[in-house]
Amino acid sequence: MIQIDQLSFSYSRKQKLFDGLSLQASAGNIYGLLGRNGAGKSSLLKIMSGLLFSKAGVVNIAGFNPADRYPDFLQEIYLVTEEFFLPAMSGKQFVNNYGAFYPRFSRQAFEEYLAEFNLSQKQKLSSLSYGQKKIFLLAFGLATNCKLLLLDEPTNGLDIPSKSLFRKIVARALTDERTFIISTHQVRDMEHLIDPIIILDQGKIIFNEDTASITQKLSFGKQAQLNDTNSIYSETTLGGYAVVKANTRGDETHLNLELLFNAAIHAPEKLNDLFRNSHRIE
Amino acid sequence: MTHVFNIKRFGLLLKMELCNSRRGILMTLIITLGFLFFVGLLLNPVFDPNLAVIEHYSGYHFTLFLCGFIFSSLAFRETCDSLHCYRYLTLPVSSFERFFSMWLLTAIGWLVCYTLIFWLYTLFANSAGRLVYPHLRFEAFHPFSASTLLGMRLYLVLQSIFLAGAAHFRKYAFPKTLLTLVLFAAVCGLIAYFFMRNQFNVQCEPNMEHFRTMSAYPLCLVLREAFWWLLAPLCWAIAYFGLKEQEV
Repeated sequence: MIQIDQLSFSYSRKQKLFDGLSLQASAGNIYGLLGRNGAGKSSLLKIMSGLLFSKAGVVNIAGFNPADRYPDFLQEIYLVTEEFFLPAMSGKQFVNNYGAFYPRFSRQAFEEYLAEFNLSQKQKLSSLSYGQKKIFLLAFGLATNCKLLLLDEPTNGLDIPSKSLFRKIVARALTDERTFIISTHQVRDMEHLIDPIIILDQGKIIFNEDTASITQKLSFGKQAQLNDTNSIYSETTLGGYAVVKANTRGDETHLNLELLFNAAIHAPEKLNDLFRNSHRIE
Repeated sequence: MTHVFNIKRFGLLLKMELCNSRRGILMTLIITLGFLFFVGLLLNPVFDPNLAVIEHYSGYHFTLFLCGFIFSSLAFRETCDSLHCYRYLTLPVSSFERFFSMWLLTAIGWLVCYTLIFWLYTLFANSAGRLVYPHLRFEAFHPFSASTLLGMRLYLVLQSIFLAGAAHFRKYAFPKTLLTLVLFAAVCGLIAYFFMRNQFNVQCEPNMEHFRTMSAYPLCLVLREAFWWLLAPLCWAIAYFGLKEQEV
């Protein structure tokens, strides 16, 4: 579905945002794209959707170069940005105007999603709250049945019940032909949804593994004292240390995304060694 | 070919653009025609007691050009703001369809609709004017008169400049396009003066005969033909590629 090879991109001549970034993503997954502020998550989503053009490298999404912005390509992607604008019209008008551009748009699915979020199509979009607007766009994006759905901070602004509902609906909407990429800082909101996990730092993908592989190779735990030399990363927490270690005993462990992210950022070499070595053994 | 143009998709885009801009067009028409009626027609004889004839051609040309240029400058306004731009650029239509829909609406659409509405307005305005000022002569407005047709042709050429400006300037496209035109005219004027200063400096006579003979020069003829036949296609190409290369 997504093939990015040696991508280079910069906003200014002096500083490159991406330099030789490569990424492959297959259909049927909900990818979590994590990274620090300014790491380039939103820019990467914009490049994938043809809103920004790469300076070098190959970007191939569903067989298209996004920069061409061919209608056949644009029918297959939908981007829900963190900040957005909705025109002053009713939800029904919006669907009448924009839904027709997506050949597989399902009005029935859209109505069902809205009903689950307790939203009405008759409401003026300008009268909705930020969170409701976001839900409206998410429901629209899911109902387009496009192959690639790009969500930038989708849970920002959603209330607690809506976040939980969002996870259920997104998981339900995924099919073998579809790929969802969720860029987020709210790792706890996404812990049971995203798989594989992609971590972006300093213009490169520093980590790209699926949950099964992570939990097989890493264990996340808490301990009172730091006496384990096997630890890859540790940080102080209330009453001890939160630790990421190599899962040498094959224990089943609960994935702690926040800890994994910090480990990937602060100890990328150790993490990479572990995954590279185990890939070699496999 | 469907990457470039698809009639069904184009129809949807046109419908959507019309739906999005209908309020603006309606308000502009009401303000323009209201201003022409109250200030240009009802108050004009008050300010000018010697006025004997009321004609509509100058009012038609002025408003056709001004409003048309403003509309054209707003053609790609979604690209001015990143929040609007996301949806505009990811809408499944081609760059050509985006450009062509806006050209059709701001050039042909505006020209035809405004001329028709203006003609209907003059029928009403002349009838109402005769009731208020029975001593004045009200000239009819003919949409297919030589003056109107020349104005339309000129509008189609000049409008293309503002459409190109709309695709290139992210903000304040109308004043920026005007400024560019003024600067361009100033540079052209200086160059023309440099090469033709001998003709300019012959005499400062108040008749135009000298300039009429100048317009018969081969260079002037080439420039005139280029203005009528090349300027608009060039500006359309600039607008199209500006839109195609647009990023957020």
